[in-house]
Amino acid sequence: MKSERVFRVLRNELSELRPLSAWVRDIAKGLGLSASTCHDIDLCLHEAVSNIIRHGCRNEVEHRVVVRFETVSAGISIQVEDDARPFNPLAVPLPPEAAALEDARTSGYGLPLMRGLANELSYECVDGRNLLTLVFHPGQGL
Amino acid sequence: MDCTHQDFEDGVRVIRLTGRMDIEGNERIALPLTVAARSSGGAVVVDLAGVDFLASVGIGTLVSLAQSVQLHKGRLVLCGANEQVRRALERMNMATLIPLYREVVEARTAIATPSAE
Repeated sequence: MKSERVFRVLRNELSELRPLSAWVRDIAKGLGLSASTCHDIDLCLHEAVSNIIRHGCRNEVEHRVVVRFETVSAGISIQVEDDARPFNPLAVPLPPEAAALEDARTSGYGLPLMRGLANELSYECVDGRNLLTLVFHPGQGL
Repeated sequence: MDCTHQDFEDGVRVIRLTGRMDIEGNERIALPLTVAARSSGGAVVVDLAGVDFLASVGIGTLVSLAQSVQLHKGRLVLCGANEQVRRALERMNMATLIPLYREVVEARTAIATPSAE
């Protein structure tokens, strides 16, 4: 796989999500990643960025979200950096799985999806900025 | 994203979704999807064959829809999901909550004659 290191800066608007998807899919396809890996990267990025925009940026202040796509030895690293309120998605306990349809949640599937599809997830807060890193290992069941 | 439906002689309504079920797509079809399901006879198949991307909001919508149909003594099943959509549903344990079939005909048979499962 050839090396790649690119980034994209987004405003905290949901209209940024589809262009972001097209951007990341183009890069992933250009690297020859499988359809499943391209999908998982797209989906996890959609969940991560939409969470920031919808839940982290509730005030009227304009925020910037920076997405960095990089090839690393383990595969693909996606880093999402934002200046919204500090939030560690890895510290949120996963809710128990519903045993019956009537008990199932109708929201809150974003974090479990990210945790289930990304091979590695890490979070740190640096100088008040959230840094979420997702790593995907192409070829390991993806 | 589009939402269409077709009624069959066995009393089953098949709702076909097409497009990307992300936040934008979900907002577009949430209302027509609910109307199509609630105005059915209670046997609903949601065909996901045309859905190439299913985000968490879409999963939530499908759960809410299935719950609503069940609340009115009906039954909703899913079918046709491609490999990626199926995997997302399975990761969220959806298959145990909302039956997921490969083909429309299989889903229709199951929901029209639930005792045959």
